[in-house]
Amino acid sequence: MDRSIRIESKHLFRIVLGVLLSLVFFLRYSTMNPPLLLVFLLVVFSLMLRWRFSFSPAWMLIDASLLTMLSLSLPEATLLLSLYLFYFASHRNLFFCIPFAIYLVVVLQGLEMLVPLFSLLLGALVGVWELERMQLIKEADEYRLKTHHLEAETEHLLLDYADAQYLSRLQEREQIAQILHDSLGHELTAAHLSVKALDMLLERGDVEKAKVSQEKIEQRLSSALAQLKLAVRQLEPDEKQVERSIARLFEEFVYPLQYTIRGDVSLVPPALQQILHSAIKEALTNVAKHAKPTKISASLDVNTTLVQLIMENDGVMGQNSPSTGNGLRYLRRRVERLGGSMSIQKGEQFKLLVSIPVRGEMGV
Amino acid sequence: MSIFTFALRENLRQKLTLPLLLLFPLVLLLVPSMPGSLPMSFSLFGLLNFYSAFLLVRTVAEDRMRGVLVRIASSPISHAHYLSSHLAAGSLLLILQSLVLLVASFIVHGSGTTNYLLLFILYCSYSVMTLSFSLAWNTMFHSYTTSFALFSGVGSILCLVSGVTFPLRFLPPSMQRMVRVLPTYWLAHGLEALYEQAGASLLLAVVILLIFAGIFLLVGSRRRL
Repeated sequence: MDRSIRIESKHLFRIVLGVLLSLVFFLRYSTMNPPLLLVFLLVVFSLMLRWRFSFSPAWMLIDASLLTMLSLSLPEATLLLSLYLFYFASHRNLFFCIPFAIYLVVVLQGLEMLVPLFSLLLGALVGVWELERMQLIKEADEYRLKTHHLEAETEHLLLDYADAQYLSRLQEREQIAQILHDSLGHELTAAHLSVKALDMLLERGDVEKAKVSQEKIEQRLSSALAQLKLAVRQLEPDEKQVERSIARLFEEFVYPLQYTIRGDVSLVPPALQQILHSAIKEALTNVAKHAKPTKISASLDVNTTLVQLIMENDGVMGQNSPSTGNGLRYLRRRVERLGGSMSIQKGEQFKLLVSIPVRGEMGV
Repeated sequence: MSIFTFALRENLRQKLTLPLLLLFPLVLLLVPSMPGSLPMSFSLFGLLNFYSAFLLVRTVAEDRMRGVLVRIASSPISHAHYLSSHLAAGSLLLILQSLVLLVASFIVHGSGTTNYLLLFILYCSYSVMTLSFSLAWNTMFHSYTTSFALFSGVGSILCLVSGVTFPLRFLPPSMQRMVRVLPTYWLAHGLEALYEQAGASLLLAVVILLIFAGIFLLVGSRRRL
């Protein structure tokens, strides 16, 4: 539990108000007769009423006006108006302060003038602090709202993704049913009818025709088996597609490139495969844009826990540029989002190292 | 059963309530009077009333400390209704206590001692103040025992220095000015005004007591779950 103490503008408001009340009390202590004490208590009550219940600061004008009128017959109570000046200033109602400030300037004399002046200044300080705090709260609320919307959007996207998966599964099943019907169905139906014909021929004792029928059945079943193998081969996903695509990227690059791929790329999750493909593409674009290499080497290591890509090239142009381009920056963000890391070494050789942990089905 | 009736019954179920309300005011009448002032029982009653008020807000304080207020907060009963019912029940019992003293005093001292109606008004405003003070005091503590332990010391000192336990004129003049900020002082001030038959001074004491009650009520009525 977070038990740290935070000082907010409302705490400062109460502290300053308490200090001002004490100050006014001690300044008027020598002349504190019962009527003045009554007025003092009424002011305390009026301020506490605003602390306990939220009224518009405009209502305080009534209290302050009554005190002003009372101070005409009880001049010692005039100083108490400073508390209302502080209240109005801290609630950023400087306009309300003007008549009372003028009255205090006219009535008060000597050092006592400093009390309303300080009240006004401190009130303005508290008011500005409160304003800033409210702006910060507003910004934080807006940020939370944006995050909430983004989360909602992500949820929708995930739901759409799940729907798409479901639809593709349905399509796949339909395709399987069609293949089975078109290829196997006909041959198996024909074989079934031939078996029935064979039974009838054997009942009649027509052995010659029965043998011919048996051969046809065998042919039909062999054909069905061959078609089943063909259908299975058609249905199998192309697991090596990503690996081939990566190899093609390396082979078709404008500069000669030596590469090695260790491990089975098809075993890593599809999201990681996509990032890997993008990373290689981005790295090769980077080489083409910023280097005139004579030697490029790339190695891709895939195991059950980690995927590591190392690319190295020479002939770097603009070695002194410390910044990285947008492409590499976005790539770094995507890699880091998957819990991986990307590091770059610049010098005569440019070296890119991307490591991404494998999570999910094959990861630990 | 309304909350008011419930609060009344809960308060009366406490062992000390009935002796405090009915017996102790009568015992106060045995205290000898001092010349040049109203009978001592009238000012000592301030101390008795103070402690009785503290005992009567016990139910409210314990409801908060035991978490009953959380259950009340989740019910359709508003906090204002709950609190006003309890305070009304407490005030009624304290006013009853004042009446016991006044009736007994009327019988013992006779009708010429003071204006009993004005004294009753003064006691009523003082009772409201003590009840509000006790409520505000209890909001500062998590345990009623700790609250009472500290209150027994502070309450006694408050009554001692503000002229409730002994007459104000025995206090040094500088201290007499200082103790004006204490709410209990205004009972002693009111009693003195009553003795001197100073109507304006008595009215001032009553008003100040009610303002004190209002301030304490604002502090004590905050809903702290």
